[in-house]
Amino acid sequence: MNNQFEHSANSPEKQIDATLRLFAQAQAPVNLEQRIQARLHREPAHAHKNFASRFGTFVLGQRIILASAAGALACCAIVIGSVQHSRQHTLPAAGVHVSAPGSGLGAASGTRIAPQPVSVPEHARSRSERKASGGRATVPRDTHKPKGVAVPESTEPEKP
Amino acid sequence: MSSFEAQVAGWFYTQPVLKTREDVSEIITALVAEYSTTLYRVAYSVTRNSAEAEDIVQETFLRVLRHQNKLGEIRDTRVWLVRITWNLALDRKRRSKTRPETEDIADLVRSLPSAERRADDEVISSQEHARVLALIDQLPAKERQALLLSALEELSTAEIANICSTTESSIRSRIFRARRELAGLLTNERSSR
Repeated sequence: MNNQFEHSANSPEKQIDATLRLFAQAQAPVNLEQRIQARLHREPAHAHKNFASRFGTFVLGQRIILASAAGALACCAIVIGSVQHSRQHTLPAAGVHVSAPGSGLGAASGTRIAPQPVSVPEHARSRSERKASGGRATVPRDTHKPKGVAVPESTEPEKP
Repeated sequence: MSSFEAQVAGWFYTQPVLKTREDVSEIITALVAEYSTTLYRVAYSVTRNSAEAEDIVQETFLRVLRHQNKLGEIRDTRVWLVRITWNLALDRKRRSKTRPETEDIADLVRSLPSAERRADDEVISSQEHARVLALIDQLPAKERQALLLSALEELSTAEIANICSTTESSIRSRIFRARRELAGLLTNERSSR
């Protein structure tokens, strides 16, 4: 090492090697092993095991049993859930499908029931009812018609 | 073995349990006897302080004691221990950055068996070492780690690669780059003086 350092000024590589060799040659302090052993004996093996590590060890050790229990629980939950689900929904009578009012759901064929009765006006007529004579619709002359709408002349004479 | 079989084997694998506390104690005693010097060198290469390095080695074996259940699962004990030591040393170094430098490289140079030289030579040598070490600290973390671990004769390139969780070729290139960069820094420093 003496020689290396005599020539180290000219060779960075040698300088690097010599410095790195310091670590390779570093001697552990005397009685290091005894001191380590003494410290290990002072340290109780389970003193530093916290709850998380103990729980982790337990889970790892009993993983087959825990996995089986979790599977059984999941199966029970599925069965109970499906039974409850089927009991909640009673089937409506066939033919008449009443959709819940205001729910927004329901088939197009479902019967809609108005929330309150609809009153019929006194002189009402249905929309489809037309005054027709001789099977033809008639439009009075003074009827207001939008521009561009061609209405054929009525063949029947107008009533006075 | 298919992946499914491997998974099933993993589920039903029960780790070998170390039977008694005496077994554990024997194993750890053997580990201390075999690896304490290597671990001390690893810790020293990072901290450059003998007291801290010793403390880190002790802490490493305390960790082994605390995780004694994992001992059966460890494939390469040396790599595992060096990795623990390296991480502990880095943590310690990071924490001690606020404190003044406590490196005792001069003490190490004096204590080396080959250090049979005059007092002024020793001072020059330790100064040179300190200069190189200061430049090593300027290297990128990965290259510095590879370079420092490569200095330990006990560790092969494959083991260093395992410690650094990378490939052997990557480690070789990191060491090469680190040495080249370090040589460049040394040359620049010398020319500027």
